[in-house]
Amino acid sequence: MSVLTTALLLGLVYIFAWCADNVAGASYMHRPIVVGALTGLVLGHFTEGLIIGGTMELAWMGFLPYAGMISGEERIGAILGTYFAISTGNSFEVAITIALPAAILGAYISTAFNTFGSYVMHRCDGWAREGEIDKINRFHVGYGIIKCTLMTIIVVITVLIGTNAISSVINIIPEAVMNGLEKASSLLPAVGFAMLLNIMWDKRFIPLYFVGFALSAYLGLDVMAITILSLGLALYRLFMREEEESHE
Amino acid sequence: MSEDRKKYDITKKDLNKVFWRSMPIEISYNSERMHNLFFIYSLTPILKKIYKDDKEAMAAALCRHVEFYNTTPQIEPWVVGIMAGMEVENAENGNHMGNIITAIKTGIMGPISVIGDTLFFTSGFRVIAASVGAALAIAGNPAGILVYFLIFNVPNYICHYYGIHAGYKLGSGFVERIMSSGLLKKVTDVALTVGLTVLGALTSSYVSLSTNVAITYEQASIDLQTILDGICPNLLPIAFTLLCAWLMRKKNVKAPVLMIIVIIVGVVLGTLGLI
Repeated sequence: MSVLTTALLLGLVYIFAWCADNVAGASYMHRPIVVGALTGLVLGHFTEGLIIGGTMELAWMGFLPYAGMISGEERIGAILGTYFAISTGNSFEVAITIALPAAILGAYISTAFNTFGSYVMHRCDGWAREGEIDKINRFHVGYGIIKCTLMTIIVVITVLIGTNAISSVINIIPEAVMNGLEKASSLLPAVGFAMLLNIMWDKRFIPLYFVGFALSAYLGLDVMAITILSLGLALYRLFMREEEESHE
Repeated sequence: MSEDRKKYDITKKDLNKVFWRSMPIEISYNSERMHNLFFIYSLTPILKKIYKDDKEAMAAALCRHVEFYNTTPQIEPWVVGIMAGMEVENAENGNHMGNIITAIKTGIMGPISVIGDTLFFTSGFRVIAASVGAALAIAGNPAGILVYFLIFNVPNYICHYYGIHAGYKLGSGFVERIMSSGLLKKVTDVALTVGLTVLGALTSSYVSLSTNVAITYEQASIDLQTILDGICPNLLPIAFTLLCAWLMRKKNVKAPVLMIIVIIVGVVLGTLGLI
């Protein structure tokens, strides 16, 4: 498959990811777990993409646009990271090393667009005063189409011009450093979990973090089992309290 | 009131139109007013019906909704539904409710964002969906994507559909009802219980860090990792995660910066063979 075909297909993956989140009711299907697998599918390495995407999902668990602050363009990061890792015959450590700066750079471009967009959006104030609802609606949709197209073009161009450059850089990295990179990438989920820990920080519930840790570290239970246990416990507590309150 | 509403004949079909139009939430996201145009786009079927002969009232409604709005997208349809109900009420009562509509729309932004963020974002469905889905995906099982989709989106689309229809019926009483029933606290408590427990499990399962350092003491050499495992399995991963949390909380290190620092530290220690 030529680089051009690949680039265009990856552009389609970006359009899917953009629309899945922005057009289809905030479905959150733009995250690495989905995008990584789709990128793998395009390259004919579905399972590798799936594994890279799943690992990246955990590493970026707390990498969220939170309270209006965009901290990363996960779509661009996941597509480019997965693509360059698979096409150079590497795995997650290369994917995340490329994905992170790509996501941050992508976020800058996206934020620049949103800032420029705010300026243009003032046109809608005039239409609002005139009661021109259809013009505002056309702006709403047009804005999305232009933004999605622009970001897609960036993905396609990066794949087109970056493929050779990135492969040659990756090929000259010594074995020992590559090994270090692998160790480093397996540390990254800690940052994501730490971010979530801070967001959920509530003194009364923090002990449960250690309960979950012990269930996994000592008893070796998997995540699904621990989810069910904690959900059961939380609902039990809720119902018991409701009953107590109704007796009062 | 329900009889008055017949005056404008807002049907279930109209509300379904609002439902479909409220899908593209963030396509016109802009830094200054964020989700503002989304409201106008979603409410269009209602606004066109109730203000079709009154250009002035239409302009007033558009000026109300062209202002700033931002909340969790997955729960935002509730606000759209409530606004649809209130706009109809406004049209019935001689267009005097403009200020109240704006006040309520702004007032619910806080509480509804707290519910939305805990349910769909920082804990709740997304954390469960991503943890379970990613665990399967890493094992090479494509069902991980399906599981991820279902755990997140079944609640998302139910909340979306129900939000438009129930929000419309509830109108402005919605906020009071939420606050007085203690629903906010209940939702937050359950989400935090599950969220933090799962996060502890994830820390143990997916952060991998062990040391190759050996301690030499009177010719005998003991692996440091063996000692650490004796104290607590996966002690280094949880200690490292708590260190990261502390750096961000207390030292204000920004997440992307911390990620880059972690990569550099990891590469150096890994290349030297210490971890």
